[in-house]
Amino acid sequence: MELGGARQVLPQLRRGTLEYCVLALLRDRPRYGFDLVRALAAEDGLLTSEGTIYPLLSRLRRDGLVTTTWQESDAGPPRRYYALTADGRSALERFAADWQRFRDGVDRVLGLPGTGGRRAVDGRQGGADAGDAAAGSRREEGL
Amino acid sequence: MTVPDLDHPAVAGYVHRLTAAAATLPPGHRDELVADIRAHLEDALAGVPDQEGAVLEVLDRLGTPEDIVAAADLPDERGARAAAMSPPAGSPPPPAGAAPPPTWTALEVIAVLALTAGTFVLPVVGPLIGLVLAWTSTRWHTRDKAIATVLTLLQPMLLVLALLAGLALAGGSASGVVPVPATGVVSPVPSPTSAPRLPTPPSP
Repeated sequence: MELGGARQVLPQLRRGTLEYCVLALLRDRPRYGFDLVRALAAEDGLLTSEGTIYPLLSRLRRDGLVTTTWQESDAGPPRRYYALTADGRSALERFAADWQRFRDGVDRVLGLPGTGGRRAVDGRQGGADAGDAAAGSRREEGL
Repeated sequence: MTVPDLDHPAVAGYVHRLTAAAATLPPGHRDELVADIRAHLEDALAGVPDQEGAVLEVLDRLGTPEDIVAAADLPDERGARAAAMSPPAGSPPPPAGAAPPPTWTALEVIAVLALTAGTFVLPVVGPLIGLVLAWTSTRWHTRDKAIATVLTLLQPMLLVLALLAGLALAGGSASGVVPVPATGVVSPVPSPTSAPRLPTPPSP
């Protein structure tokens, strides 16, 4: 694999997860487009071109994972609010479980800190660090 | 303090470019996208001072209209996510399998005219020109071009076959076989001995 190969992986990773990040942001309450953009932009490197979120949201709506309603705002034009559907919620839950398993596996193999501290490279199994696992899921919730 | 709005020249220009670029989308998608981007701009501009730099920053973060439309234009979800994550400058090529928008340019129109009307205006040469133009088109699939080629070449072939059939029929009449146009049945000339006899009237 060429030297630039590792950097090519990142866009693909984003590509696969951005949709679920959007769904996760809608988990607790409906939100409007600009609000979602701001939340995603706050996470370093998650979103490079803000405008492309809107086609993604349209697609999520056409696929039945979110619904939209126009709501009047106190000052200014009405806003389109997005909300999770039951299908969207179950898709998100399925992804979250898969992602956690996948991420933990990669972390362990790479011997990254926060996954029990033990390098799995030399064959020793590291026990899952309960504290770090909780911190990890808190980080996910805090999106 | 005034805030910039959609009437700001740079913003108006951006929305204009977006609307134009989105012309390739289905009408419903296009209207929705432009409405969404306008709403985004309303919100984004409300938070910035009325300065050129701040306004351009908002537009920069939005990404180019072409990138946004490309994200909407892709045939599947995976493609939309790909475009959402692509670097803004120098937009990457669409993922493999994404077809160019199926709209006709002047090339396609002229090709069709040459293939059809060209037969009458400039026989043989006209349709051939139409075929050449058709093959250079990027908007038509190879399968469609192949079908068009077969159909176009089929016409003179059918003509030749019809001529041969006509010649065969005309040449056949000289060999003793008489076609009977009324009934369509080819039968030998009846001889007096084999003609059916009419029943003789009863003799008084």
